[in-house]
Amino acid sequence: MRWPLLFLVMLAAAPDTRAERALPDYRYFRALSIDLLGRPPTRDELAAFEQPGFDFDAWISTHLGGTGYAERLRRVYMDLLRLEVGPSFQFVPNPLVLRRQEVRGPDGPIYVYYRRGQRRVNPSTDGELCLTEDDTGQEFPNNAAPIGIAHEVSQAVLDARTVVVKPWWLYADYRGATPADRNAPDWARRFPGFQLAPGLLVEPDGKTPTTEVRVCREEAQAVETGAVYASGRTGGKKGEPPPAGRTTQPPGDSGFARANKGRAVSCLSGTGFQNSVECGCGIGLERCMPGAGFVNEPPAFLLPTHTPLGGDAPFESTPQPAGAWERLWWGEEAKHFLDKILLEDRDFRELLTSRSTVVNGPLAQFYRFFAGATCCGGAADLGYSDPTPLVEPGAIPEALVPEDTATWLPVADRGPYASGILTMPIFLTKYGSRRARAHVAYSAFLCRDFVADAVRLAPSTEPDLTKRPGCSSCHQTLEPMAAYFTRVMESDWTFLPADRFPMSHPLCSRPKGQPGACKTIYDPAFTTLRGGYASQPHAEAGPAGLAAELTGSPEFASCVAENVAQSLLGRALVPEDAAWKAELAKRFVAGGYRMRALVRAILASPRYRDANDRRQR
Amino acid sequence: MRRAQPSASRAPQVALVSRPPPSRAANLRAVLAGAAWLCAACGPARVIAPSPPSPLPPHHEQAIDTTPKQRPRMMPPEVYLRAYMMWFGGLAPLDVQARARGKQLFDAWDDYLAALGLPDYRLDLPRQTQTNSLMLAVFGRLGEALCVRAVEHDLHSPKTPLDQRVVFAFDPVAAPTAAQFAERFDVLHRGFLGYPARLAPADRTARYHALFDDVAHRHKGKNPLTPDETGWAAVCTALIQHPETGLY
Amino acid sequence: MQRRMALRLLGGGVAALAARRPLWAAAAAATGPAAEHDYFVFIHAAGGWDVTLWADPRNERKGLVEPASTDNTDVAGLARWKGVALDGDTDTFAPLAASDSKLVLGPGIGALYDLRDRLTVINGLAMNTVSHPDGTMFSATGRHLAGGRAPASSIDVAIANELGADQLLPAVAIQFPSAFVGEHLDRRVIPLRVSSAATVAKSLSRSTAYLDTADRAAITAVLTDEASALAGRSVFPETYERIASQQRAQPRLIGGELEKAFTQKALQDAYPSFDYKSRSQSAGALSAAFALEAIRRNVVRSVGFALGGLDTHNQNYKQHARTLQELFGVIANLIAVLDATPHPTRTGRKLADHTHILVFSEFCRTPQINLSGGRDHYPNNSALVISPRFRGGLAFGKTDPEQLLPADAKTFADGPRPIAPPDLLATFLSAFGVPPAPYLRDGEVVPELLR
Repeated sequence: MRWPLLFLVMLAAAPDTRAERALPDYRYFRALSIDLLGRPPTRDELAAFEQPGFDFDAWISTHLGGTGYAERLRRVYMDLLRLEVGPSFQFVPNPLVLRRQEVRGPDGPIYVYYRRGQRRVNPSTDGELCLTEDDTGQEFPNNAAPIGIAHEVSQAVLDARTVVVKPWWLYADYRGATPADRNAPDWARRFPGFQLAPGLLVEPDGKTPTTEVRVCREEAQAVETGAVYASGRTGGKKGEPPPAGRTTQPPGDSGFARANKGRAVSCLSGTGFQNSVECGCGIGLERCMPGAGFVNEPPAFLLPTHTPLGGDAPFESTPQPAGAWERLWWGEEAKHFLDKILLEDRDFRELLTSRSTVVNGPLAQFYRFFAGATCCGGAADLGYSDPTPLVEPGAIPEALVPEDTATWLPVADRGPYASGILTMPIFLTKYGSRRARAHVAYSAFLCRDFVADAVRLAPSTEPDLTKRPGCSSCHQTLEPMAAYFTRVMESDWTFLPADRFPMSHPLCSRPKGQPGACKTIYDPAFTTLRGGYASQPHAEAGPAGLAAELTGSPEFASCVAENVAQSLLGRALVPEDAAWKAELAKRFVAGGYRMRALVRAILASPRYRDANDRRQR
Repeated sequence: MRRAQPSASRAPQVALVSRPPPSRAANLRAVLAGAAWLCAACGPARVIAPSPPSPLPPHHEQAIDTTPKQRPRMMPPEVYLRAYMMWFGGLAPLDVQARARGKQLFDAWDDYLAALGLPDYRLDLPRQTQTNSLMLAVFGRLGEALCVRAVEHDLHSPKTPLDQRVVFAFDPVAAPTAAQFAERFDVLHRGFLGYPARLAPADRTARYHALFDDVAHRHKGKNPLTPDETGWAAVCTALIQHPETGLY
Repeated sequence: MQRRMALRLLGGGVAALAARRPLWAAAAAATGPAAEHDYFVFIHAAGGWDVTLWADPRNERKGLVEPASTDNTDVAGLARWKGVALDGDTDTFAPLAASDSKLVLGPGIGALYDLRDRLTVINGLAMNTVSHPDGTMFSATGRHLAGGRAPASSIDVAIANELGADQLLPAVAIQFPSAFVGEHLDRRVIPLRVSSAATVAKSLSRSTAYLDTADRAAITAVLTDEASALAGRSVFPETYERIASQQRAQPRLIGGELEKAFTQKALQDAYPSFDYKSRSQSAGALSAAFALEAIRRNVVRSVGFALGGLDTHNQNYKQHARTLQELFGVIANLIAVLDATPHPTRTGRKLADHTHILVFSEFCRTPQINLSGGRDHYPNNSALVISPRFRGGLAFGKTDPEQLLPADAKTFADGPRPIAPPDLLATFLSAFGVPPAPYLRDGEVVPELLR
């Protein structure tokens, strides 16, 4: 008991070197900590503050560039843009998802992985699991439990129809000749955030660790280009039962297949997957995502459900499907991109204009292998089957493996179509329609809104919304802005390049025999690309054009000043703030649109310092 | 002089800066001027040499703070959560959850996050910026879990070195006097509210000391914490939920 | 635009001076008797519903209208779908038109059709928006978003402010778009926003191993005193006064019956008639059970919750009718329980006579089917009221036959026009003796809707 007493005596006897600070100073320091560090001050920080030499300006300068500052500012724009998508947005294109069925092998139950819709030469299995009812004793309907009584599949059949692969999700060195870096406990340290759903780690017995996976042969193919396959089938009629042993009609030949039989097609596009028996999941199945089951969205990864403090500090993790994996990393890309601009105090306009981004392992895999899976639908009928990449493949850092969830590397140039967040998957999926994309950018970056307070919407056949009574008041502005996204598909990121998609397509002016794309990609009402009628120049300028328009507008700087000031002050700006806001905007522009100077000006202002009423009456 | 402008948030009651009343000299000049005019009107005209005006008496300049005022802001839920992890010793959220659980002190983070006011961007639900009674209930549950675990870590294990204590960075004394309590209360007050207790309203320390004594007395002979430890847990719980902890 | 909006906001803020009984009551048409013993349930059908499947049924191809049919709808399990030929092999539905009712409804109404004499359907609501957040806020508050923010309080908050500030939990919002706006509302009615009903119980539970009830009471006393002291010293005391008030409510909330009654298991056990495993409305069923329990215990005045899954832009439209059926099934169940439950404070009365339900969505869906097989957003809407103070078996308002756009409902003070959300909200408030003017900048009471 002597030592604590002695300590207190010494404490009492020591000269107090703390400066006499007033309560408003403490409050100010606490507010600055909350806004620049993201938390109240620690005991040590408070002690340093109380020292005589403490300098508020110097302290602000030190912390204007830290992760707490970046998070604080990022929150302003995330509250405005809300760049996360929930489970209602399903990203499960058939080319990507490897589901699995349990069958009886010679040595007991085994899993066989396959893709729904995978093309196979054998009409009994084309588009379905590569094992038939005769092989297994069972039928395997989509999204439902197998039907029938399982019998053993012979080794000969397994060898003929399937292969064994060491996949990327189990081996970080899957591209090597003999992969050995298998999923192990040290992965938690090496690849924090990468956790497979438990079902992917063990065999059907629930105990034996999975060291390799058995997959249908077609899925294991690794060529990047395949030949278009035309089976000669026309496809089943509606209502007609499938042939014996199948659960669905065998795929018929698409118009694209018939017109392009034998031609080369990219295996990185959905069109390749649908029309070539040679397109598979690539080396180590890297072009596909695993799924521990046969349902529509089988579990794949343990993912955080909430990350208010960032992806590296999850609050709960649950098994989620492959689509959730992508949604999570898309959102993280936008956050890291914004953080980079803030931490490096770059020109804030780059949020909209920059061609760079930052990626981690999952995003690198997405951009290399997954992004093309949604292409090309009806566009293939117009000869578009090799999608323009969202990020130039050569720009993606080679060093990243899909497990590198925590390693973020810059991509200096995504390519000529890239423009800040406007061309990131999270933005293009959160705001699926062209108008929604234009609307949110208009609101967030010009602080303006489309408010149709009291208009009459009378029935009208006028297709042009810039002229339609009741609609024109908003759409005169909105339509030309939406036109900037004419060449980006809705609810997707597929670009429609000008050399393949002229504003008006000659095939669509034919009276008969128009391809389906003339209704899906082109607008019959205007005979132009959908969305382009309001402004062809905007359509050609693309999202970069919108970025230029927004950042070139005089309201841009004022809006940034307003958004940031309002957030830091915790209140809406009022008319009395007008002059101050104008000064902030001017300073922001003069400082090269850099955020630090703006934030410093706000934090050092009497408005921030003296704002909260704490004074005694 | 500047005239204070009304803020949008409430009807202002702003006093104008008053003009000083006319000075006696000014009054006199007015009278003389009036008299001169009368005289001029009645008698023969004569030239009156103008005299330079006397300097006006100095006005009292009163600076008016025209910065718009606002109420204290609620600490954003992200900041509260980060502070919470910090007060728990810098643990990750899932580690905090694991440590806090036990004896029904805590469930899972998922149960509380929405009630704390976090936005949900996936569902476009905005963040909350005002407290409500359920939010305070959540603060209470989280605060109690933190404080009990902190007592167990800092005080219940006497060998935890002072510099490793997460919340109670002092050596407790049994049945502290007012001065002894004040010294230790100051440590907690700085930690949660960010300023020394001496700058708080004068009755605050006494109020918390009374709480300590009340709880300690009630827990004589009870487990698992000693009466004084329970008293400190209560003081901590009452400080972490203090309005000045959650507002700034 | 900014300055106009700012001025409107200022004007709206001043207009929202809500001393509980505002001075300009004479200017507002408060018609109904006060409703201090009544309860209110507000339901947001999230996503935008296809009104042609229930409130404004269409089963013919006309103009833009492509009706629900076996081509675009999965009719298996639709209890009220009676097929009639549309063309070729394709069937559409026969509208529900009973001889004892003037209401003509579509099959999506499901079990609620049995209660048609208690339904007030409002069609042709002019939305002037197709944005989810804007449509939601317009329906809930009568105002469009301004700068991304709600410029007025939502209907549940308005009701709680007038009629329920003394309740323990005046307004509870389970994923409901509540908005508390204005300086002069009673701070006690700031809505309790939770993500699920089960959260309420978990927030209220406390360990018994360390601190006990007396300790917590002492802590609450300290906190209340501190908050009150700070309020006494502040130029703007409202924040601290509000916190003091919220602290005073804690002992009634924590560690008592409410915590046990609001657990998921307790709610499911107490109200087993709900389908807690429903494909689309399992969370909504639990929310409805919470509403019932909270009303039965007389701890709330307004409960708002969401029933969802309606934003069907593509092939998922095939399930839209089924989702509607499940949604209305929850409401039908809710009413059935209210019918069988006595009022907590008025002897001899049943809750159904004193509970009022308003169901809205953010907009309706396009009359045409889009290229992906679904329906997109459309600036028309319908709403549903189930209240003893509203005329049952009534459909008010209409749309044009070819484009499903709002048509003139009646002649309002500003001339003939369609009904709009502010009118419905004004009518709702007025039905309970609440003058609309302090809460609604726009809107006119529609007496035709009221008994």
